[in-house]
Amino acid sequence: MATVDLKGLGKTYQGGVRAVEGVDLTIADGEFIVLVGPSGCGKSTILRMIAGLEAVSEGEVRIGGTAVNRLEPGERDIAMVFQNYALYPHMSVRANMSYGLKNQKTPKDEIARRIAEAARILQLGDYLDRKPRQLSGGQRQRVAMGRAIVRDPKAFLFDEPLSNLDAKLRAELRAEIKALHRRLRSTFIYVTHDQVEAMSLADRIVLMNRGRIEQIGTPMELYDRPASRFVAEFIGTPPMNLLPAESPAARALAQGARLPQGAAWLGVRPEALTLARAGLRGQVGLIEALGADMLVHLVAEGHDAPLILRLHGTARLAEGQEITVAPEEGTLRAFDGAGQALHPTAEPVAAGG
Amino acid sequence: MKRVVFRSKWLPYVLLAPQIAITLIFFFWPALRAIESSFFIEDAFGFAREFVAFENYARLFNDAGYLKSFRTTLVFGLGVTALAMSIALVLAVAANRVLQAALTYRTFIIWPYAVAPALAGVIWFFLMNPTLGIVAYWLDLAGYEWNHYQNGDQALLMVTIAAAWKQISYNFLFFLAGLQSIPKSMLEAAAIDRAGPWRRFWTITFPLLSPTTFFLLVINLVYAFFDTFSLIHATTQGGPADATSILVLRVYQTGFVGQDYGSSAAQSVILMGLVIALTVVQFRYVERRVNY
Repeated sequence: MATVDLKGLGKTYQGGVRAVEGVDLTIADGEFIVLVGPSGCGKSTILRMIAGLEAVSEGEVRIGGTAVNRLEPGERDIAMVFQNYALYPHMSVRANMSYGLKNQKTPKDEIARRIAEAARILQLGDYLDRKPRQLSGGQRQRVAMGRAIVRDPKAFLFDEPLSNLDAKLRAELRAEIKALHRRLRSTFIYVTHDQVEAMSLADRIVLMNRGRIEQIGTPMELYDRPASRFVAEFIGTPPMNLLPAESPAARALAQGARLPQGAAWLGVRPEALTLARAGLRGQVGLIEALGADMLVHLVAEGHDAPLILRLHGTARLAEGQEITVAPEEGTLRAFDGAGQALHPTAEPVAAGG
Repeated sequence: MKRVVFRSKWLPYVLLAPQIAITLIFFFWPALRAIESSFFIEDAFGFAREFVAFENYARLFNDAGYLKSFRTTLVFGLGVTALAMSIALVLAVAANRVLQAALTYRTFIIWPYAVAPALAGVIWFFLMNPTLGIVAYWLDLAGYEWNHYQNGDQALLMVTIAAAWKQISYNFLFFLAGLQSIPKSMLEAAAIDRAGPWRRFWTITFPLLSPTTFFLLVINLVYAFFDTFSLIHATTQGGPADATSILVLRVYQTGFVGQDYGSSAAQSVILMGLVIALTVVQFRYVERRVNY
C-alpha cells in the first residue's frame, strides 16, 4: 500500500506524437482512482508508465515516495490486470497465481497460504487446477485479479479489465472490484473508457482529453460541476443539454436571470428540467420509456437539436403535446466560448454557473 | 465450410479420380514395388531374380557398414536439427525485437532458403577447402588443421554446417511467426511478476512456442534424413571412408552404383518406415498440443 505521485508526466512517441502532456496527480494511499476518457486520450499510456511498461519521456513517477522512473516493472512492486487477461495459457490457475511469488522466492507454504486466501476471496477454489482456456471470461478475469492479490503489491493497476465481458458480467465484476477495494484498502488505479464504470467505482475520477487532464474530482463533483463542456458531455448518459447562451431557447430557460460574464453556452442536465408554468415551451418529440424513467426529446422553439428531459417513468405525456419546462434552481451551468466553465457571479440569481 | 451434396453417386468419385490416380501411380505403386523388390535378389542386368524373403533385411542388419551409416545419419540429423533450430531461434528472437527496417532484415535472412541444396553444399565446400577455402585458412591461422578430404569427423561437420545453414531461414520464418503470435501483454504480465528477460523467455515464450518447435523438429529431421542427398552427393559423396554416408546416400550407392537392387529396396523400405513414423508422431502430437 502506497501513494502514487505523478509530476509533470509526459510521453512523446517516436515521430513526435505527444500522447501525454504535463500530468500532475497525487494519489493517496488506499484511494480508488479511475482514469477515464475517450480512446487515444493517453489514459492507458499513463497507466503503462506507472507500471514501467512504457518509458517516461518527461516528469516523474513516484510510488510510495520513491522515484521509480528507472526501475524495471518487476522492481516497482505493483500488480496489473490486463484487458485481455494475459494469463499464462500453459499454466494452471494455481501456477498462474504462484508465478510471481516463485520469482521473488517466497517460501512454499507462504505461497500456498496466499493462494488459498485469494481463491477464497474470489471464489476460485474449484478452478485452481484448471487451465485458463477451460474458464469463462469472467473467471479468467478473476484469476487475473487473484494473480494481483497474492503479490500484495503497493498498488493495483487495471487496464480496461471489463471491456471484453458482456454487460451483465461487467456489472457483476464491477461490484466485485469495488468490494475487493473495500476489503484490501489498497491503492487502485483503474483505466476505462466507460463513464458508468468510472462513476460507480471511483473515489476520484481523472478525466483525460487529448493527453491532458481535463478535470479531477469525485464522481459527483464531475457530474454536478463539470469544469468544461467536454466533461459535461462526457459524463452522464444522456449527456448534459447545451444551448448557445444567446439563443431564444437559452433565454427562455434562464428566465431573465443574469448569466455570468462571457457565457457562450448554457448547460442543463436532463433530470434537472421539470414541467413548469413558465419557462421554455416546446413540443414533445420522441419518447424513450426506460421503465424507471423516460427520456423525452423536446423540440423547443428557437433551438435546432432536441433537448433531452429525464422524467419519472409514470409521467403522462404524448408525442406532439405542447409542454413548458424550467430548470430546477441552481442547476444551470454556463461555459465560455473556449468551453471552460464559468462560475456564478456574486449575485444570487437563478442561473447558477 | 460449404457442404455440397451430389445427386449422382459416381460424380464425386470421378472428380476425385485424378488425385487418387496420381497418388496411386506415383506414390503407392513405387512404394509397393520397393517392398516387393526388397524380398528378392536380382542380378545386375535384371534378367533373373530369386525370392529370398527377409534375407536382404537380415544382411543389412548384420552389415557393420549399414549400422555405421545408421549412426552417421542419426548424428547428422540431430546435428543439423539442433544447429539449424537453435540459430534460427536466436535470430528470430533478435528480429522480433527489431522495430525499424524489420522487413528488409527478414527479406535478407530468407535468402539462403532459395539456394539449391547442392549449391549450398558447394559454397561451404569451397569456403572450407583445405587449400583454397577462407575458413580453412582462418582455422590454420588459429593453429587448427582442417582437411575434410582425410578427416571423417571434419567432413561430417562440414556437411552438417552446410545443411543447417540452408535450413535456418525456413526455421527462422516459422519461429518469427510463432513469436509474433504470443500476446505482448503476456510478457508484460511476466515482467510485472518479476521475471527477468531470461526467465521470461524460458518460462513463457519457449513453452508457448512449443507447437512451432515440435513442428520444426519433425520437419528438420525429415529434411536432414532425406533432402540432403544432393548436398552430400555434390560435396563429399559419402566419404572419406563412408564418414558422411547417410542412409539415403547409401540407398543410391547400393542401388545405382552397386546395382544391388534388392538391398537398395530393403533400405528404402526402412527409410519409408522412418518417415511414416515421424509423420504419425507429428500429426498425433501437434494436433494435441497446438491449442492449449
